[in-house]
Amino acid sequence: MNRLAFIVLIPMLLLLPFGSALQGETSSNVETLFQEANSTYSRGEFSLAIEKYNHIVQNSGYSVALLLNLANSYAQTEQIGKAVVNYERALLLSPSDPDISGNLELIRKESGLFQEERSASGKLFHFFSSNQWAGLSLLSFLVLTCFQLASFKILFTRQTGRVVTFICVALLLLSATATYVRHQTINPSIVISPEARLLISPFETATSAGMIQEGRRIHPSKTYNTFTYVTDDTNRKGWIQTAFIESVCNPPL
Amino acid sequence: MQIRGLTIFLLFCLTSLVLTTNPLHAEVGVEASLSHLSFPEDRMAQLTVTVSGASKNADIRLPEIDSISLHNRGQSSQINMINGTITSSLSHNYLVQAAQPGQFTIPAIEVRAAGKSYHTEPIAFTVTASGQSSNETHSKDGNSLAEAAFLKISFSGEHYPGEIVPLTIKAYFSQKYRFDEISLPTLQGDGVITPQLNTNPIKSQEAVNKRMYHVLTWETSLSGIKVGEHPVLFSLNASLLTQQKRRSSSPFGGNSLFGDSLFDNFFSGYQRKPISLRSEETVFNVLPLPTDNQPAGFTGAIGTFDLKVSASPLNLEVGEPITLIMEISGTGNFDRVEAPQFPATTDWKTYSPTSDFSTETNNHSRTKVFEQAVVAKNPELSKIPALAFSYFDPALKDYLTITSAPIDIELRGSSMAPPMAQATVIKEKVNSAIQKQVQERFRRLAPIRLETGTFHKELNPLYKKRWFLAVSLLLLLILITSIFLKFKQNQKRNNPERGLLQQKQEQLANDIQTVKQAMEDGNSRGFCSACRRTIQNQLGILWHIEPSAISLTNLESKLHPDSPLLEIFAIAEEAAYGAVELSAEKMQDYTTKMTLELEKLA
Repeated sequence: MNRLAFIVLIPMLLLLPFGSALQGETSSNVETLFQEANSTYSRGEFSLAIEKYNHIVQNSGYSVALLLNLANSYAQTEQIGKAVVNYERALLLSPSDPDISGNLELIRKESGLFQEERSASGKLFHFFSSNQWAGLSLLSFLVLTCFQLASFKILFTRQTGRVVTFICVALLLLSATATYVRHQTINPSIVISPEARLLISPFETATSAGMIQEGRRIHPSKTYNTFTYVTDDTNRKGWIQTAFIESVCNPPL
Repeated sequence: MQIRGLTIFLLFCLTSLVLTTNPLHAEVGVEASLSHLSFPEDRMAQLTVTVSGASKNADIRLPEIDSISLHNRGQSSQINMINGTITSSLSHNYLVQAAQPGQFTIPAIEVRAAGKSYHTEPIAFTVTASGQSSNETHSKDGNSLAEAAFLKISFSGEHYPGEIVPLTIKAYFSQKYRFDEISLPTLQGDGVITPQLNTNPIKSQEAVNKRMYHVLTWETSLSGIKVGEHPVLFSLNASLLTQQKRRSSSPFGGNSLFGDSLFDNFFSGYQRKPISLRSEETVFNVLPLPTDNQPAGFTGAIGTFDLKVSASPLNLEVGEPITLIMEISGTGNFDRVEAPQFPATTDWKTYSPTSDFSTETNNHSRTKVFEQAVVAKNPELSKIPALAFSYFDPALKDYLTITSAPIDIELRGSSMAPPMAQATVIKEKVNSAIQKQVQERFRRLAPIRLETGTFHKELNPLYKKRWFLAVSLLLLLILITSIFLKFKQNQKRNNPERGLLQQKQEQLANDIQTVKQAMEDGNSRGFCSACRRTIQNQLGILWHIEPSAISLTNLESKLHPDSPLLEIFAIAEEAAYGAVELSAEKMQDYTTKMTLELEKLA
């Protein structure tokens, strides 16, 4: 019994301070403004609702509900790129929310933004979100460390030691690899303008390498003046005006 | 009776024929031939010695050739009757096997027939190394490989940046050979781009220089992206399958059942040889677009285009939206084709056009359809104005502008409304129509949330957060430390002698220090006591006995009689019970001896 308490309590104690760190706080003003924006949305005044939701974002930050409502408002005004950006942001905060993923799926389908079929490894790495993979890697690391510490006090059998260590190391390796793979595409941007086109050089007069649809996910790699060099999900590369794209993570507040 | 007579007549004729045309009397001729004048070491060629016009008693005397073996494979006979003259020939077959590569000659073969001696002509032949194909398979020979498979591309002339130039890539594979693992052709060259090639090319057959080829054809296009002369070529990788013939090992000679080439197809394998086909390098010349006479509405479209404009409804009230359909069809770079600009006037309210792209037809022709909502604001309007589209025609090397005809419309109704109110009504109507369409498309969206939920100041992924990194680092340090400690613990547990040795060394060092201190103080009694304790401690650890229990008797029973420890321990025992005075030199001597002896025992 003592052994069990030792193994279970250590991870919980270590995680306790960080759980409270994730909690934010809301003020009554924000709540009021949010309800006003919701009413505006319900009346069909979507542009006004967007303004109000954005005002809350500027002042209080992001919440799942706020981003979902904002994305819905953009969808209703047919700003597909902006809608996709905000659904993606909401998914960062709540990766398993079916409403968000359902809305994102619908808007992509309605706008012809079909996703590339993923390989088997791609499907595995996308089974969890990057945050979930990172959490899993930390958890397996924690269990491994606690087990090592516990083994000073408790004499485990050699087989138990090997099984626990193997499972933890395997989970750690898998989740760390998945986190790394997801990291490579963790900071995507979304095309937010219907006028966006890929250019072969970072100049307005450069030859076009093709149209790129609003709402498409792209991965920026470098910038030059007002242009960004990007790669899209179909591996097309080219320069695009930085104003025509918006980053999913770390947007300017 | 008649039948019997006819039979006798035929027998008579046949007998007469045989007797009058006896081949024995024909002239004798000998000839030798080799099936392959060049063959690899791991294969064999067939030598045929043909004796014509002789009896079956021809005697063939095969020569001896270094590194060459001749295996008899039987004989075959042939009888020909030409113009009533019958000739017969007898062919003797031998398999020629080489023990090593090189140039060889089969010398003249002596044939004795009809009592005379005849000789064939010498035959020179080449044996190549095993695994190499002979000249006949051509796989090593560059020219022959070029005939076996090659790549052709077709384009010509001068072009302009962004112009879509039709290109045909043809890969020819000789039907005499087998190929597989054929890759897609890849472009090699800068300054030009080509779209992704179709993975299912057109398959056909063509005759080139009287040889039949399987042909794979890709219809695609090239586009220059910068001005200049760009050398361009395409390459393609494939594998040439060369059959490895089985070596006949029939013990019976002759044409055995499994000596047939049919069985080679079944039982012998294929060897894969990677080959790379490259088309001829061609220069793709990209000229700059002329700047003279460039129309204002030119958006970069290059090719040949046509413009059709239609509108509906044509009979409507002021403020009602009209949908303009603008179809631009033709061949060219459609990514630079944009909707014709609707003339900017105060009479019309215009909305951004949307575009749709048709699939490519056989002659590379495509259609891009733009749909634009426009609203007439002036009730006196009677026509939708003409729309213009400008492009550059590379064939004419000039800019062209196509203009649509104005479209008649009939506006009715709300001309009585004041202009400002009318504009507002128009805006509302159009917005409402668009809004309805959008709402219909997204009516299945999950509804908005009514609670704000928890707020986050940033959207960084978890692994970029400081606390996550700090916890990971802390865990890593703890893990490394615990693994290190565990390692040390295991090491100690698995090797107790090592710990004992370390303990002895530490104990000895401390005790010697005490001895030296007593020696420096000139304290004989203390020195003797320290020596006694030192010896007891070290031997106690060594013999696993309580140190204080070790006596002189133990030492005498376990140590060599000459050991200096016996003398030192005896003096020390004596000093414990009586006065013993030792000189400094003696103390130094004892210290040295004791240290050396104990270290030796350790």
